[in-house]
Amino acid sequence: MLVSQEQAVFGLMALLGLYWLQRGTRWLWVGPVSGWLLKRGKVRLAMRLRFGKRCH
Amino acid sequence: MSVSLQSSSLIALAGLPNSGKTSLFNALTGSRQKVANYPGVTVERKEGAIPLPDGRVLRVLDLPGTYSLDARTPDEEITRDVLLGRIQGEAPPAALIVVVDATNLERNLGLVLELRELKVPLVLALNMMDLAKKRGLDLDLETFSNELQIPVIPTVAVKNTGTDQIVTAVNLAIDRVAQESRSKTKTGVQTWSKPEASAVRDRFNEVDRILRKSTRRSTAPSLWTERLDRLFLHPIFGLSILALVLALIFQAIFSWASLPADWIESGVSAFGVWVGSLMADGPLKDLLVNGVISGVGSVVVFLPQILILFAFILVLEDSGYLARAAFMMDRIMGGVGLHGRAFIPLLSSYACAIPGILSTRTIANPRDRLATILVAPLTTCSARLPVYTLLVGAFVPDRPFLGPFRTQGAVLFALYLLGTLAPLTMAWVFRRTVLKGPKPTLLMELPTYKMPSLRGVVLGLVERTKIFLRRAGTVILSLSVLVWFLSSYPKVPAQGQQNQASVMPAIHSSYAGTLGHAVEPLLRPLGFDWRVGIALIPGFAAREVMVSALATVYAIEGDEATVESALSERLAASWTLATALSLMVWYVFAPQCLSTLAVVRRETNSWRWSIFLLVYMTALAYLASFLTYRLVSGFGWGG
Repeated sequence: MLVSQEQAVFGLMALLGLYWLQRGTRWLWVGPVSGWLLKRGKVRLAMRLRFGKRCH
Repeated sequence: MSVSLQSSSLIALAGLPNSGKTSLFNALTGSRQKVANYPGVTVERKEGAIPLPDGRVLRVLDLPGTYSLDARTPDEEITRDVLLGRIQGEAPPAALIVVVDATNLERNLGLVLELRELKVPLVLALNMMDLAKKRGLDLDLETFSNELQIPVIPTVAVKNTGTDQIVTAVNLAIDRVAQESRSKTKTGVQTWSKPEASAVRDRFNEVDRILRKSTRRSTAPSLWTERLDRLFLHPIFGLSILALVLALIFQAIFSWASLPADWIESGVSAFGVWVGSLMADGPLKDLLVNGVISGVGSVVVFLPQILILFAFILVLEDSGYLARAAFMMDRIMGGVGLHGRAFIPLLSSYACAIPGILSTRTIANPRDRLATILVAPLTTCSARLPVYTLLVGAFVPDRPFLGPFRTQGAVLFALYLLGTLAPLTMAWVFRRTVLKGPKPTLLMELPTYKMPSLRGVVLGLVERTKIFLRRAGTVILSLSVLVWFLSSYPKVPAQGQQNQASVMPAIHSSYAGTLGHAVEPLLRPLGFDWRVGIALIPGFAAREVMVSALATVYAIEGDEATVESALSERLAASWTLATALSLMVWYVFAPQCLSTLAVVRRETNSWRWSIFLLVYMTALAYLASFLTYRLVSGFGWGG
């Protein structure tokens, strides 16, 4: 094994933490990032970022 | 940018409420749908896609129903603003499909004439044509279309009839406009001003003239609807039938779901054993088996129950019976000071309080709306169902109760009844204290009865399954892992473990154990121990996490043999009936959902009402649980 079970657990916990960090801070970065994507012509990606994940 | 926009034109569906927009939207787009919110507000934005044979894609927007562009509610404002191109980041539609209920042309055509004044190509979908013909409508389509000066396509959205012609007509309209606009400059924002009363009168005179000219015979009222309404709207029989229908639903949730739920449960358990057999003992195996599989599995087991509940709601809604139920309930709602329109938000809250609170936007008076928002979270949402069914299944013996009904169904019915009476009682209290005001009145339109469409129900259930599994895969999975982590760490040193093992399992000294023991004195009067304390805390993020947290806590605490036994068996062995009932009552009242509090904050624009909600619901839950525990223990069922 490349890593021990203990290290894998802590790695997974860190990934989960990062995932929730991006979910919790979307309000902060989605606007500027989707604006930048729109400027570069990536309309579909920008719309997906802006509307796609905010469904309930 | 221009390439992708041209290859996907946006068209919008507009029409009166109940004209069949959503059915047509489903028929046009099938499962290619995406639900989100409009930026800045919380009105649902439903977009779908229609792939065309030439490789282009038509994006279709299902707009909220409106009677006129002169908007009266936040929902109607969105429709008006989208149509007028006033929403930032939302391109104005390239064409409009106006959905019209053919059985009620007189009321529907006013909006068509109003929309005709906008400079957007229109296609009229004359929906429910089968019903209109059955009721005697004889319409000269050519004259009708010529008089309106727009293409008219007869449709039966629930049977997928006329959808191809709609797509062709829209496509033609867009192409024509594109050709015309090459020579002209075009602006995205339309101009519109509130019409004078005389203009509105003129519009309805024009509707009369068009109908006189194009109809040879108009529709007669449905005899069946009248006959059924005499029964379903009867003050005594109507309410009795409503109670019977609800009792049947709760009975079905237990009887029909038990077999598929058993399959899922044994599948989850076998999967856990299989995964466990592949790995060496260690924390990763423990995380996967006790945290992920045991935690998420314990919630996924309740999918059949939730689908059965929604199948009933969708069928009742599609058939037109739910509107009658709303009408029947208005007498009760009015009695406690709620607006008649509060029925739909409260009914939506049986699925989840969040769409319920969002749909209060149809209530114009802020005081009426706030009263509904404050009581909606008391309604029994579907996230409570796993908690209820787990505890009822574990503690209520399955015996015949009354006729075809059995005790477990009856207890669940009682819990739902409590979740129905609680919001009504609290509304009565609020309207006499913090939200005093005049009694609201209700004016509503009852749709005719229809055979529910299988396609609509299936699409609704698929959507519900996706939402449930997405939730299980994100929020519940994350919280299960977190609960596992807090229950497993810090690890007791090997030396200490040997000394302590004979006294208590390692979970006692974990973070979660410490936290559970810290809150135990507060929960003891309600009959809850530290394990329930551990489960209640993540339950604030999402109610059903309580079930997965309990599963994780008991899995970590128990040995190999207990991991394989069902959670309900483990609870039945270690809890008393008084504790179980007290926890059920806690869940009837407790504000255990952070997202609801966040939505209340967004909808009321202040934390004040969210905090008020949190405080009053927690106090109510504590008091009710305390009384339940004391009373049941007093009967000798607590020891």
